[in-house]
Amino acid sequence: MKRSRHLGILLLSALCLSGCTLVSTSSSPSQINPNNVPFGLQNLTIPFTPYGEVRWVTRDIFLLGPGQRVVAIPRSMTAPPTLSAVLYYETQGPTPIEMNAGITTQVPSNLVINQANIQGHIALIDVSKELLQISLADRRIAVGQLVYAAAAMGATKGIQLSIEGAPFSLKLPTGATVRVITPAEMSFLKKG
Amino acid sequence: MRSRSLRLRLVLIFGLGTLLLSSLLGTLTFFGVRDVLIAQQQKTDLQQSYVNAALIRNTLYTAPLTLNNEVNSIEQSADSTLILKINGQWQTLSEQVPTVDISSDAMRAVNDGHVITETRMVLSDLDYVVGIPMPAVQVQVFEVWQLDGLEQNMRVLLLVIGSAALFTTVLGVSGGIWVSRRTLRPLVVVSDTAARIAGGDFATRLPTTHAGSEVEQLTESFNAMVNQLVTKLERDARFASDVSHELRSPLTALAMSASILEQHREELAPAAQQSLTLLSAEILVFQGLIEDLIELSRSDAGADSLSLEVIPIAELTRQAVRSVMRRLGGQEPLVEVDADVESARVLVDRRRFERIIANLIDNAQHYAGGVVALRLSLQGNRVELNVDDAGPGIAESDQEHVFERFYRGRAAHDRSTVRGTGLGLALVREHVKSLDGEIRALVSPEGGARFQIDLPLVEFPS
Amino acid sequence: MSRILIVEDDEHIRTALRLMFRGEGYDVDDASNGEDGVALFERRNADVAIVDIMLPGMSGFDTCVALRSRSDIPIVIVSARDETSDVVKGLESGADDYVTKPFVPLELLARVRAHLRRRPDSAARAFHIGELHVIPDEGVVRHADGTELHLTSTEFRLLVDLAKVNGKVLSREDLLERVWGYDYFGDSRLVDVHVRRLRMKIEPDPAVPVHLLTVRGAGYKLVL
Repeated sequence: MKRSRHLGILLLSALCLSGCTLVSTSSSPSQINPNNVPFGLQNLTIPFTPYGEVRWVTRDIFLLGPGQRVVAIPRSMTAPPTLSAVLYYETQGPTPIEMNAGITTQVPSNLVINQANIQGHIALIDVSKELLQISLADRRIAVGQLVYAAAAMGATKGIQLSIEGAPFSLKLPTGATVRVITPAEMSFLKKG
Repeated sequence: MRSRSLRLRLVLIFGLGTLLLSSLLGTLTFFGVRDVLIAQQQKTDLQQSYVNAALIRNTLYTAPLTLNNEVNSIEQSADSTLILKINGQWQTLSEQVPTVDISSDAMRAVNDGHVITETRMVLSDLDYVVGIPMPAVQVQVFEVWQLDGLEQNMRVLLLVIGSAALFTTVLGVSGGIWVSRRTLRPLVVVSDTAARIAGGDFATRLPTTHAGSEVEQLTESFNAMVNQLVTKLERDARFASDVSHELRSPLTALAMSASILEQHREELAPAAQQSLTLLSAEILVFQGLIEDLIELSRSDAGADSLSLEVIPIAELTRQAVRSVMRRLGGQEPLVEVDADVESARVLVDRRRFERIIANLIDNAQHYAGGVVALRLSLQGNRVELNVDDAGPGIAESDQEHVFERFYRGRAAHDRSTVRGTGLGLALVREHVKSLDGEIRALVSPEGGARFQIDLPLVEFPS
Repeated sequence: MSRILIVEDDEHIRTALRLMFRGEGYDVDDASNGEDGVALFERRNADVAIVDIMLPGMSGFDTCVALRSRSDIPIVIVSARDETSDVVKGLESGADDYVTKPFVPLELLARVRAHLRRRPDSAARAFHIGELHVIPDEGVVRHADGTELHLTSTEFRLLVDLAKVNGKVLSREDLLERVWGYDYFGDSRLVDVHVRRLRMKIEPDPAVPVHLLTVRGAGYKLVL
C-alpha cells in the first residue's frame, strides 16, 4: 500500500514537472528592449533620411449615395496628399462596410490613373481604356465623381481627361460635348 | 511460490523503474525540445516581423499607394497575418478592433510605444503575436504567427522518445529478469537441497559458489548445520545400536538362566513356578525388543546388505507363513492366491520378506486375534499382498501413524493386552521400503485391519 | 553320553550354557578362551563344540581351525548378529553352523541335538568320486592308497545327499533342509561355504570343479 502511494506521488510530480516546462502562454505581452529592435523601427524619423516621416491626412473622395447622388467619403492618405492618390482611392471605391450602407461608385475599379496634375486649376488626368467600357450614362456619373474629387483637391475649374493619351470629350445630358468638364456641368449629381 | 513472487517483484520493480525513469526523461526531453523548437521559431518569426515592418515603413515612405499589395505579398510569403493600425484606425475589413487576434494588453503596450511579443492560445491554435509601433509612419504593425508548423517535428520526436522509452523498459525488464535469476538461483538451490535433505538424503550439501559473500556465508552455515545434524543423527543411531549390542550378552545370560530354571520347573514351589512363567515371558519380550532394535538400527544405518533373488511370490508367501507359524504357533491363516499371481515373480531378499510376514502375523496375534488371511493379487505391474486380521480394525486417525516406532494407538492403551515391542510395524515398513515396495494400513472387508503391501513385479521376456 | 565343548569368554553365558546342557544330560567341558579350549579338547575330546567368535587372545576363527585340524566333529559358532562376514569366515574356518546372539537357548539346544544326530545314512551304498571311495555306512572317505580323507559330518552328509539323487540338481533350500534341517528361510551361505569346503577336499582342482557342480539359478549337483 505504501509502495503504490509512493509510486503515485512520483508519477504526479513527474507530470507536474513536465507541465512546468510547457511553453508559457504569457498572461501579459513581453516587451522588447528598444536596444534590441533593429532597423530603428521605433525611431521618430525614418533612418537614413533627414527627418523622414510619414504623416496621415484625411481627404474626401466622392462616391455615390442613394439615388446615384454624389457623397463625400473621407479617406486616410499619406501627406502630402496628391491628386493621384485621391483619384487612386476613387478607383478603389467603397469599403465593404460602406457598400453595406448603400454606397456605390461608377468609377471602374480597374481604372488606372496614368497621370494626374493640376494646371491652372484644371486637372489634367490620363486614364486607361476602362472608362470607355462603361455606358455613357455611367460614364457621365463616373466622370462627375472624378470632377468633384479633383475640385476638392484644387481643380476648381474642372478636369480634362485623356484615354491613354487620346483626348476625351464627354457628351453632357444637355447634348453638348465638352472637352473640359466643370463641376457646374456635373451638378446634376448633387441635386436631390 | 515464494521464490517466484520474489522474482516477479524484482522484475516488476526493474520494469516499472525503467519505465518511470524513461517516461520521465522522455517527457522532459520532449517538452524541452519542444520549448527549444518553439523558442527558435519565435525568434525567427520576430526577426521576420522586424523585416516586414521595415518593408511596410519603406513602402509607406516611397509608394504608399502600393501598401495593400505589399501587405498581401508579405502575408503570402511569410504565412502570417498582418493587422495594421494606421493613424489610430484599424485597417481591418470590419473596422472592428481585432480583439480576437490581439489582446488588449498588447494593444495598450504598443500604443505606449513598446515593441511586444505575446504567445497566446487562441481556440486550439498557438499564436505568436508581434506588435511593432512605428511612430515615424504613424503605423502599428501587428503580425500574427501560427506556431503549429512544428507539428511534424513534434510527432517524429514523440515517436522517437516513445520507442526509446519502450526499448529502455524492455531492457529494464530483461535486466530485472537476469538479475533476479542470478540472485535467486542460490535461494532455489538452497531450498532444493534442504528439501532433499529433509527427504532423507543426508549426503547432499550445498555446492560452493561465487555468487557473492552473502551466499557463500549462507552456504557455509547451511552445510555446517547439516553436518551437525548428520553427526547427531549418526551418534543417536550409533547409541541406540551400541546399547542394543551391549544388552545382547546380558540378555543371553538371562535367557539361558531362565531356560535352565525351566528345566527344573518341577522342583519349584507353585509360587516360584508362577514367577518363572512370568520371568520367561518377559525375557522373551525383552529379547524381541532388543532384536527389533538391533534390526532397526541396522536398517537406519543402511548397514544391511540385501541378497536379492527373483522368487515366485506365491511360493515365497506360503513358505514364509509356514515358517512363521512353526515358530509362533497358533492357527495357520489362509493364503489365497489369484490365478494370475501364481507364477508372478518379485525381486526380494527372502529373509527380509519372512521378517515382514513374521512381524505382521506377530502383530496380528498380539492385537487382533491373529491373521485371518493373506491374499495375493495382481494390480497393474505390481503384486498386492493383503494381510487381514480378525481384530477391530485400525481407526482412520491411526492408519498413518501405526507404522511409527513405539506407536501404540488408542486401542492399545490397555496395557494388559499389550505384549508387543512397538517396533514390529516400523520394521515391517523399513523392510518393505528396502524391497522397493509400499505398505498402507486399511480396513478389511471383514472389518478387521488390512495391511496392504505392494511390490514391483519382475517381468520376464517370454 | 555325548560331550559338548563350550568355548565362551562371557562367564555368565558360559555358566548358563553349562548348566543347560548338563540339565539335558550332556557332558560339558568349558573354556573361557581358545587356547584352553583346544587344550581341553586334546585331553578330553568332545562330540560337538560351541565356539564364540569373539574370544580374547586366540580368535574364534583360529580356534575353529585348530579344532578342525584335530577332528571332524560338528562345530557351532556363536556370533554377534552384525558381523555378517564373520559368519562366512567362521564357516570357512571349519564351522558347521552358527547361531547369533541373543539366541533362544532352546534353539541352540535343538541345533546341537540335530548335529549330534547327524549320523551318516547307512542305507546309502558306497560310491566312488574319481579316485575317492565313499563308504556311507562307515562314515569314511578313502583315497586310492587307503588313506582317510577327513570330512566333517556335515560335509559328509552333504556329499551323500547329493550322491543319493544320482546327479539330480538339488536347490540350496533342499540342501539346507536335508542337511541342516533349516526351512526355506535358512541361510544359504551355509550351503555355499560347505560346497566350497567340499570342493577343496574332493576335487582334483578345486578352482575347476568336475564332480560337485554349480547349476546357475538351480543349485548343485554331484557328477561321479
